[in-house]
This record gives sequence, C-alpha cells and structure tokens, in this order.
Amino acid sequence: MRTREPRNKPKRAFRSKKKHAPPETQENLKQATDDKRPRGNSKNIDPVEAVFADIAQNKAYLEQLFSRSSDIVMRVVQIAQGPEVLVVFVDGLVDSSHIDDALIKPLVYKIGHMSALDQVRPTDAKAFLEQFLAIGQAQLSDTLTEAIDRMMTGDTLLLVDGCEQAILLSSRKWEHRPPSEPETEAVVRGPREGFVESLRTNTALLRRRVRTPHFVIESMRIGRVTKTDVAFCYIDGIISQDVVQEVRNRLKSIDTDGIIDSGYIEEFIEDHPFSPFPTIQETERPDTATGCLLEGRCVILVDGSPFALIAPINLWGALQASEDYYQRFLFSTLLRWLRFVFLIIALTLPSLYIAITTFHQEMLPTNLLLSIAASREASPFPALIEALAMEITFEALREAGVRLPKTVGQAVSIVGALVIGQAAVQAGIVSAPMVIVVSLTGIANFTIPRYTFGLGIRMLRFPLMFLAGTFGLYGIVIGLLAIVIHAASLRSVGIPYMAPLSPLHLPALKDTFLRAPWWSMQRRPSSFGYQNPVRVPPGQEPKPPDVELPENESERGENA
Amino acid sequence: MIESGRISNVQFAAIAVLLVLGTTILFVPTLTVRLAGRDAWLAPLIAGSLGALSMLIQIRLNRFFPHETPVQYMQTLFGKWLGSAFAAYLCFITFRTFAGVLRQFADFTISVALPRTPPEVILLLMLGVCYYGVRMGLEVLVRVAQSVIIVELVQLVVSVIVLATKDIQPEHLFPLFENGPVPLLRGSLLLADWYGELIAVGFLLPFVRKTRNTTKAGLGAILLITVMLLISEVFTIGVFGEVLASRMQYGLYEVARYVSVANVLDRLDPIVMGVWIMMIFCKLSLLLYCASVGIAQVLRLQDYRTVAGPLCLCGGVLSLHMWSNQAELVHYVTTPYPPYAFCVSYLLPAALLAFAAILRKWRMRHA
Repeated sequence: MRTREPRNKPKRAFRSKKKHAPPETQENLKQATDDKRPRGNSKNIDPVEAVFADIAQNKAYLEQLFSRSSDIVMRVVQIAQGPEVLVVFVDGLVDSSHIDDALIKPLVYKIGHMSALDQVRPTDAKAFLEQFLAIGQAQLSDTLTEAIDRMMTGDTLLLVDGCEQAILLSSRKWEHRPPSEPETEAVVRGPREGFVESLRTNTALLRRRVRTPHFVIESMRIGRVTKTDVAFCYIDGIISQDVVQEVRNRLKSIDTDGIIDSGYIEEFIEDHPFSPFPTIQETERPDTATGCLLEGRCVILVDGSPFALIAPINLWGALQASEDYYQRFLFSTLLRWLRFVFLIIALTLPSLYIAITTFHQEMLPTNLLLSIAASREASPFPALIEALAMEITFEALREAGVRLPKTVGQAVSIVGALVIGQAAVQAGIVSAPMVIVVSLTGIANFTIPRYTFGLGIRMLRFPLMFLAGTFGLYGIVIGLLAIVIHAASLRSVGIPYMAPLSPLHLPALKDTFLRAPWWSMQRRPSSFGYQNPVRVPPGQEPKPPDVELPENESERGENA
Repeated sequence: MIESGRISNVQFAAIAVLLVLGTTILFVPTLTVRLAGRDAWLAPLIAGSLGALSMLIQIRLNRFFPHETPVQYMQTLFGKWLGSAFAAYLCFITFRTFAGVLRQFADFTISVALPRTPPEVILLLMLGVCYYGVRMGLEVLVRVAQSVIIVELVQLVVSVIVLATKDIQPEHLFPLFENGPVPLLRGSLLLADWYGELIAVGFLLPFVRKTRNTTKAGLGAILLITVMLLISEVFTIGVFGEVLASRMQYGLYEVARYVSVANVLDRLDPIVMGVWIMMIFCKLSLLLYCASVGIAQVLRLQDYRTVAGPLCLCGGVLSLHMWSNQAELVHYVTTPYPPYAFCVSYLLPAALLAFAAILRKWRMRHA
C-alpha cells in the first residue's frame, strides 16, 4: 500500500515563520508553488500525485489538504449495490442544483443505465463516465494535482471507488457582472457591450463576432499561485506567424506568483517598459478587439479583468476611436484631425504659454499681448511657477475625482472649480489666461481616445514646461525632438511604433490621417504584417441607380 | 557590419534632402544674393546640376564597392596606411561640417530667439538630443528625418507659398543678367558648396536596402532640394528686393515674419524657427553619425557609439572657437571656403571615382 503521510519536505521549503504550522500548510504551498512536476500518463506519474484506487485514501488525502478551506464541499454518495463515489467541488463556483439534478440524483436513484452497475463494479473511469453520467463536458485526469487545479476553476471532481482516474465534470457557474456599456470607451453610435471579468463570457463575446473556425483561442494558465486563465486569440491566416510566435513566447516565459489584472501581463510582455508610451493597447470593447483581430493583430484576454490587451499597436491608433468606423467617414476624418490638433495642445499648450509670455512676447498680436499683460500684472509668480502650480493642482483634482466616493465627488468638483477658477484669479494668485490654458489642456487630454496613451502625454507635459521656462520655444522644440526620436525608436512586438508615417507606407495612411470609406480600404494595414492582404474586393463604391424610376413610382401609386 | 539597420530608397532620399537643406534653406539664399544680385534665384538651377553630379559620383562609387563605406573602400584602393589617412581626412571634413553647422545653429538661435543665453548652453542641449538620436541608430534617425521633412513641406507650403505669394513683386525678380553671367556663376558656385556636403552620403549608401532604384531616389532628392531652394530664393528676392535681401541674415525667416493676413495670421517666424531647428537637428545628427561611423572604422572599433559622445563635445568646442563672431563666420563661408569646398566635395570624389575605375580596368587586364 502506498503511503502519503510522510512526504519528504522539499529541500528549499517555504520558510514559514510559524514553526508549528501544521504539515498540510506546507503541502498546500508546495502544490501551489511547484508547477513543474511532470504530468502525463500513469507510468510517469509521481506516486504521491496519482489518484488512489481506494476511495477512503482519496478522501483522507483531500480532507487533510482542505481541512482549513471552508468552501470545499465533499460528499460521499453510495450507489445502491454499486461503488462509493466521492463528489468534491468548490462552493460558489459551481451550479449546485445542476450537480444535484444531473449527478447525485441519478446516482442515488439508479436512473437509466444504472442498473448495469449491479453486474459490474467499474475499475475504468472512462467507462463509468460514458455509461452513467449525463453531463456534457467532462474530462479525465490521472493525477490529483491536475484534478484539484481544475476543480479550483469550477469543475466538479468525481472519484469512483476502484478507479485510478479522476472524473472532472464541467459545472461552472458563479456570480458575475453581465456585459454592460464600457465606461472608459463610451460611444454614441456602436455596440454597447463591454468585456466583463469572466474569461468565458469575454471569449464568447469575441466568438459571437468572429464565427470562422480560423479564429483561434489558445488558452494558458499563468501565475503559480493564482493560476489565472489567459486566452491568446488571433485569426489564423490573417495574423503574421512571427507575431503569434513572439507573443506566445513572451506569454509562456512569464513566471510570477499571481496575475490579478491584464496590466500585470502587459508589464511582462511589453517591448519598452520604461517608455512613457504604451506599446500594448488595452480595450474594454469587444468590437474594438474584433477590429484589431481583422487587421492581423492578436488579443489577450485575462480572467478577472475586463480589459483585453491588443498587440502590436502603433502611435496613430491612439487617436482612433472605435466610433470612427461606425460614423460616416467624412466626419470621422474630421474628428481625427481634431484629435491630432488637440493632442498637440494637450502636450504643448502650457509650455507654449510659458515660452511666449516669458521669452517671445512679440509673437502675439499687440491687442492680445496687452490683455494678457494686464491680467498677468496682478500675479506675483513667474509664468513657469504659475503654470506648474495650476497643472499640478489640476492633476490632483483629477486623481481625487477618480478616487473619491461618488457622493463626495460632487463636493470636490465644486471646490476644485473654485480653487483653479474664479477665486484664484480674483485673489490675484494666478492669472485668468493661465486658468484658460489649464482647462483647455485638460479638455484636450480627454479627447485622446486611448486612456493609457493620454497618461503618457500628461507626464511629458511637465518636462516640456521646464524646458519652455528655461529655453523658450527652442526648449520646446528640443523636447519635442527628443519625444519624436524616442517614439521612432519604439517597437511594438517588432513593429515600428511610428509606422505607417515613418517608415512611410502611403496606402496605410488612409486609415491614419484619414478614415477612408470601407469600400475603399481594400487592403489590411500593412504595418502589422499580415498574410492575407485583400480585405474588400474593389469596385464596391455605391452609386445611385443608372435608370430613373419615376414612371414605376407613379404606376405604383395608381395601383395602390 | 558596424550598423545593423537598413534604410529604404525613400528614406535615403529624405536624409539626402535634409543633409543639404538643413542649414541651406534659411542661411544661404541671402548670401547668394550678395554675390549674384537679383539673378540669384537662378543659382539653384546651376548649383543643382552640380549637386546631381556629386550625387551620381557617390552612387557610382557605391556601385564599385557595394556595402562598403568610404573608409573601407579607400583602404581597398590605397592600402591600409595611406587609405586610412585619406579616410581620416574625409572623416575630419564631415566633422568640420558638423562643427560649422553647430555654429550656424547657435548663431541663429541666439539672434532670433534667446539673445542673452550663452551659446554653450544652447549647444549642450542640442548636442544632447543629437547624441541621443545617434545612439538610437540609423533607422531611428531616418524615421525622424522622414517625419521632419513632411513637417517642413507643410510649413513651407502654408507659411510661405500660400500666405506670401501675394507679397511677391515681379519687378524685384527681373531683368536678368544685368551685369552679365559672371555674378550668377559666382553665386552658383557658392551655393554648390552646400550641395557638396552630399559627400557624407557615401557613409549612408551602403545601408540602403535595394540599390537598384537608388539613382532615381538620389536624383529625386536633388530635384526636391533645388525646388525648395528656388522657392526660398524667389520669395526672398521677390518679397524684399535685391538690396534688402542682401542685407538680411535669414531670408525665408524674414519672409515668414513679414507675412500678415487679416491681422490674425501674423508673425509666423517662430514656427519657421521651430521647424528649422528640427531640420538642423537632422543634419547635425546625420553628420555626427557619418563622422562617428567613419572614425570608428578607421580606428577599427566595434561600435560607433563609443566615438559619438566625445565627437559631440569636441564639435561643440570647435564650433565655438573656430570663428570668433558671426561676421567672421560669414566672411569665412563666402571667401576662403568656396574654392576649398569645391576641391573637397567635387574634385576629390571625382578623382576617387576615376582612380577606382582605372584600377579596376588595370586589374581586369592583368588578371
């Protein structure tokens, strides 16, 4: 008989400060931290991991393992004249009424083929599964470790006396948020569904939009302790194999104890961790993710996070909202230009104000110069100090607005409006144009559709302000040059960040600075490297009909 | 190979344009007017054909020695020691141009934007950005150059062509050849020296990806340079007239300053200044890159980046001490420099090409 009790302590055992910790704690931790143990068919299995044939041993082992986990439900079902069956599941992750109806009731009442059990005491779990269990999704497992892993995701573990394999029945059901409108990427026109925290729902949201069998959802589990499910999705035949290989390798090489949000994955796989610009995009919108899949990019979904990751990306994507593709293209093009202008404003307006009022007053038309000079007269600080104080206050207000409970938020916004508004001007602490500059910068930052990119711009504003305060326009130009050099040196999964502008690719520009109508975007954006270039066959531009139809209309009128 | 990046033909054209235009477009037109009077606006055409010649020589040399920088083929042509000496001289020329451009840049910034800032500080900031760019490698530099050239074209069209055309007075441009063709030729030769800065292109040609179309790209670049210089000359002379223009420092800058539409679009000169600083940055960093690569190869270093930093600082110091003031710089550029530059940037590559061709023929006969 195999014994499980005196398990050797691992050489580099987890150093627990509690010396009297019960042995099972260490068992738990060993299981949690040691993920590299071989798994395979019964011949290679470590004897301490294998499923016991004797159900009492299994039960004793599991009871010891979970003695302090109150959410694990274990129940022995005695099939009349048949073997004993042990049912184990995590309460809260499974649909317990479904387990009762589909599993326990038939076993206890011997419904259906159960009478066959009278003749045979099964030793083959597969046969037992095929003959006696009325549940659609089920799997077999040779080791208890794997079985327990799967049980933690919401499967029900079924151990049959006499069988050396565990049966895992799919029974997941837990409370989660239904898909609701994404708050960070709201649209006027377009779908209102957003990703949620449950991975299965998210893959379903994508699958509902992409119904081809070429849509691949590779799943992997990352995190030694949290064992988070991660889905790596792409459309085979469109995405470049290099990108798939690269992203897959990066995902596989992550070794950490836990993944709580997709942000963790992003930081592990991005190309340039120290850049202020994100090289991986996040989105809450399944339609955005689908659009990216069709352009030959991949999407990474993480269980527990409503934010999907998209790679590779480029800089110009930061100025594109999903709505651009649903609205009429002329207005979308105009919007893109507007965002471009406001991107520059968000980045440089405070520094331009500092530079002009400090160094280059002659740039302003005389009347404007006079009114600015009049309002700046009362202010005791140089423009740089004034601007820094106001911008930092504004950042603080924004942060407070996000963090504070909603009921208090209103009070903060009123007080904030007073602080950086009229009161400050009237007190003569800041000048009125400065308030306008700060508010305009704030508004401009909100026009950037991609939130993380906006964060980068918010950060870069401050060094530019210092440069403007010391070197005027020259400083701003040098700062912008440094930013451009940096952006030109970035790559996202090997794709140049500034593409298709530099390196220049003219056809792809029609989805960067313009938003060409769908019938004219005949090829996928080439910068992402695709396999299958043709998107829209040519010649689909809609036209009014060649033949006028006035007579028919009048005839129709008469008939009616 | 010392550089792992490769560039396309379009990118090559972009950097060739910026190598010439970087300083030329604002600084040289008025100098040409001093020599050639109102005929000066024809000078880009003559100088441009010389520039095309220079470009063709460089491309031809690259055909003889594909994937080799001038340093490498000079060593093949003249042997290890003599070749290295020639190559070191070529690197020095590039480096000297780098220092000269730095000085012109510092003078420009001080005179138009920051009159009381010490030039050392201005140079330090620019050199820092150049060093950063060069460290990032050729591919990053050309991507920046590509963006800058688009910005420059937009700026030229908007702030000059669209807004200043109404201010051109045709009587400023004609009659031509009032004093015979000699002043025009002198002006053209002066302008041709700036086209001559194209010898640095030799360091970049080995990194072009598909060399079959490089001739076309190179000539296209020369055409673009010529057209832009032509615009620059025509607007400077056409708006201000010969006399006023010859007393100015920065022709196009003054044109942009002169523009005024409905009292709203006023004083566009800071925009010109900003774009021009970006162009100068491209020119400087490309020259620094070429000089670093050349010197690293002469010294047989593995990485050009180790040379770039010291070169930056040396260039800064040299630029401040080679000329004591702006008048001296202008005198240097107009009087002793043109014949010297003509020898270095036209006769030297031509001799090199002739030598390479003869050597090849001789070898084919004796092999």
